[in-house]
Amino acid sequence: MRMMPDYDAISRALGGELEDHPTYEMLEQVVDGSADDVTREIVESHAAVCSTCDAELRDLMAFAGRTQRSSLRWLAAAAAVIAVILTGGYLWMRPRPVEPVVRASTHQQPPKRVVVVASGYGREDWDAAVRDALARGTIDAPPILRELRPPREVLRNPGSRPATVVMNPAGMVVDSTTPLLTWSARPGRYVVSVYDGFERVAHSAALRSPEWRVSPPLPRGRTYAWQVEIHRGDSVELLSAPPAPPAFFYVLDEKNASSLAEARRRFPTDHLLLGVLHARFGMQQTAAEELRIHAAQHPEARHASLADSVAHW
Amino acid sequence: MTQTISSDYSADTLLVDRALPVIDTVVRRRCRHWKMANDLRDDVRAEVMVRLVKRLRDSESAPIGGFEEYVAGVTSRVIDDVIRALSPEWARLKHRVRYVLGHDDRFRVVTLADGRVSCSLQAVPLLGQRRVRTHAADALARTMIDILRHGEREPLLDELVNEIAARTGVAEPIRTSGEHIAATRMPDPGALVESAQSLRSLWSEIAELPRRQRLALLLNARDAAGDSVLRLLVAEGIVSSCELASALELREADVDLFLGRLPLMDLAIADSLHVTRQQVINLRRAARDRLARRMARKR
Repeated sequence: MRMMPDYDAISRALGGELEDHPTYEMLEQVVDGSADDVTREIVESHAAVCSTCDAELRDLMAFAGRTQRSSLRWLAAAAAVIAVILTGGYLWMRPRPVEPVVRASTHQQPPKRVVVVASGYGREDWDAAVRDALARGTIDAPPILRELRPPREVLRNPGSRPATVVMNPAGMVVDSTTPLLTWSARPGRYVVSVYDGFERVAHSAALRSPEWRVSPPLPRGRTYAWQVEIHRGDSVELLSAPPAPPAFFYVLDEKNASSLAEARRRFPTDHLLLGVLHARFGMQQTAAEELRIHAAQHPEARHASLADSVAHW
Repeated sequence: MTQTISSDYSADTLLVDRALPVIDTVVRRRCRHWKMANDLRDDVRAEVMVRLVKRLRDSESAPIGGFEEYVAGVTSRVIDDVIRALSPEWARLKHRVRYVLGHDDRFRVVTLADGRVSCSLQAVPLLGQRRVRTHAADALARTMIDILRHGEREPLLDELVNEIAARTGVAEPIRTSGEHIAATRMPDPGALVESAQSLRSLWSEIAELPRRQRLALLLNARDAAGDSVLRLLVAEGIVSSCELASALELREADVDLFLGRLPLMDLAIADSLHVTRQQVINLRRAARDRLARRMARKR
């Protein structure tokens, strides 16, 4: 078939062309975690379509005692960010126990004073959660927060570093399916994008003020990454950009959201229960606020320490 | 020898007079232990030539410095590709050996003037404490030490891998009966794009590219006249402006305005993606390579 001239131009400009496989040195850098984010993206995306290189990469990783988790480092742009989310997403799509895990306090003396509370909520999981928190005097950060708070990337060539920016929510769990996103104001117009995996699930129009409420509502139980493009003339600046970590948030899953709603409805003034549940679900700020209110009402040291332990996550 | 290849140098002369002898030397050196079909050398030679011509025509790449060294490197990579097709286990074993050599202080590697790598033990065997601390690596390192300690001379890397393969039975030493170059090649999908339907299929793959690869490809895509081809995509009905907006991460209403600014120079793309110009080029190549492999699978 004769190719139409316009098709020919398009295919030459956009068509595929085989390149060399990644070199051993590139594979080694990825395995060792020393590859820059572009090299890592190139190797990983190539391995996704080349079974030979995929097998080689996996074999070398296993041989070196590395895991694919090393790829959970900051990637400078959304596609790579999304790859991080996918890895983290796996962890969050797996079934998680509803019942809070009661940890044995092996290194602490058992409490001398018996605390008699939390036995009448009518839900065993709530009772156990509150009882455990009071017994231990502290609440551990749930694992999801580690996933949502990747470390800052160490740039190989730290030239001009972007100014510190504040993005909210970032590294936190939210209850709302339409969270309000806010960020440090900069000159220009803003376009916000929210990603679930590789898919952009929401984006704003061009905005003048540094805030946007996500629309349409986001499905629960998923981790999302979001970024802001700041358009100034021909240039586009991204928030966040290396070395700042990407901004992740997790929308509380249906089961825990229902639990929280029930607690608010049935025990709206029980700040201990609300604080413990928010903490269990990773909602640090609200948990700390609730627990502070409770501590003010119950000035025993143990109650105050709960709020402090959450505030220091 | 380091020499920059100027554009007025005759490509034919370059390939015939200077590239062919290097290719033949590397093939002879690396494949001398192979049971090689007669036509395999010709196939390797032809494949290297194809890659060289492509590289010489590539206006994006920096000039080649050290032409003979470059040809030797390309030839070695073609041979590596053949080995991968012939014996993926051997290729993986070689990676493992290289990894141990580079991460274990007991070993020493020397790159010879002709690019070959020889392996030996450090003069002071316990010098340094770096090890690859897995059982598999420990076992491999012990085998390597045994071979290197009792060998008559320092083996070349491929020889060491062959010896380990023979001892452990992890992989067969390289044997070939031909037609393996073909296994390393795939049809150039660019030549397969011949209709709106196949362009549509190509676009669906472009949309699936990782973000930076997609933008590195699209923002710079231009026709022979230097104009962006993205407008053509919409004009030909291959993609809707909505799809284009999504791929470029724009609002649909902004597409027309944005198209007027395209194609972008690599430096501008680099700036917006927070990478270097060379990384933009690498991302675009990775995008094209991924498209080639995906489109080949579709066929």
